[in-house]
Amino acid sequence: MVLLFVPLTVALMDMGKVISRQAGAIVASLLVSFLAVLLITGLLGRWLLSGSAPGLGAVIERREGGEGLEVRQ
Amino acid sequence: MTDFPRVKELLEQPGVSIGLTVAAYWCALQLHRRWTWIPPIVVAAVPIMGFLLLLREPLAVYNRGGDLLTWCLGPATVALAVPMYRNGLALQRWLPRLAVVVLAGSVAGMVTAGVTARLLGAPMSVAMSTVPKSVTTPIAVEVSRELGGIPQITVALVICAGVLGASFGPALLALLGVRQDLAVGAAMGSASHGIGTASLVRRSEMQATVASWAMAASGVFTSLLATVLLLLLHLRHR
Repeated sequence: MVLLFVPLTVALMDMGKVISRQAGAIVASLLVSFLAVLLITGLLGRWLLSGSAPGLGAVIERREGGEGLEVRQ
Repeated sequence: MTDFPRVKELLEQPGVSIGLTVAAYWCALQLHRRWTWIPPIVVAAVPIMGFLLLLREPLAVYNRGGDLLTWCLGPATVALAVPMYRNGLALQRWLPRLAVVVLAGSVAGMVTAGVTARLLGAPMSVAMSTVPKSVTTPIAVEVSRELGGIPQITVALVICAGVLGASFGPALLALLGVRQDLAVGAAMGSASHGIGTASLVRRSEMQATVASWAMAASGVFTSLLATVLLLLLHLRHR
């Protein structure tokens, strides 16, 4: 599905003129805001959704004594 | 400057720009398989941009085929409902908490974008253009217009936010220790809408499902919050 977004990314080459007037403020705003959303949703999600299914990178091990399985994120 | 009339003529065929895009994306995927830190969407787009600049061809020529691919985004987005239906029951229990996470992300995204732009001296119209940059393009354009922003700037920012998320989102979340499917999906859908969601399809069905839900919820929350912001601005100017 990412393939379908390639033409939109190529279209960024024509948007330089639109952004150039306030480039510093626009780029800073984009980066700060992107990181803020990712940090807040990621960390809040980790806390609020902590009992949900494990994700990629989780390690599933047999508990000591051989009874049941333990999931470590 | 060298001219390439035959190549230019070929590029005018929509099939050629589609083929060029598929080939560039396939090469980018091969590189991504070998070096996972390489973002395929950027690596696929850059050579096409270079090719167009070299030929001095306007974007419109490439878009004869490119627009057909972009058109396919509609059905592809609808198809995201299939994993959402398949994982609906597993997700149901977590929806209220997911809504809180996405709402917090929407507020943070809107406030930090507008405030940062204003603090760095951008005029109000530019600052308002940055506010809806985390949501999908059709909603972002409408919100930007309502707030008095410039839709063209908003479109550029929406695409950049998507590309940033698809390229670096999962790695940044892993650095923060965020690995649960629900948390990763919520963060990617909130920060990078459809492009971020699409990048998760090959990674994990559950992450893509949650990201689709978060993308839709984020669009609704941003529209509602924009109305509140508009009311506040109106009251302030009275």
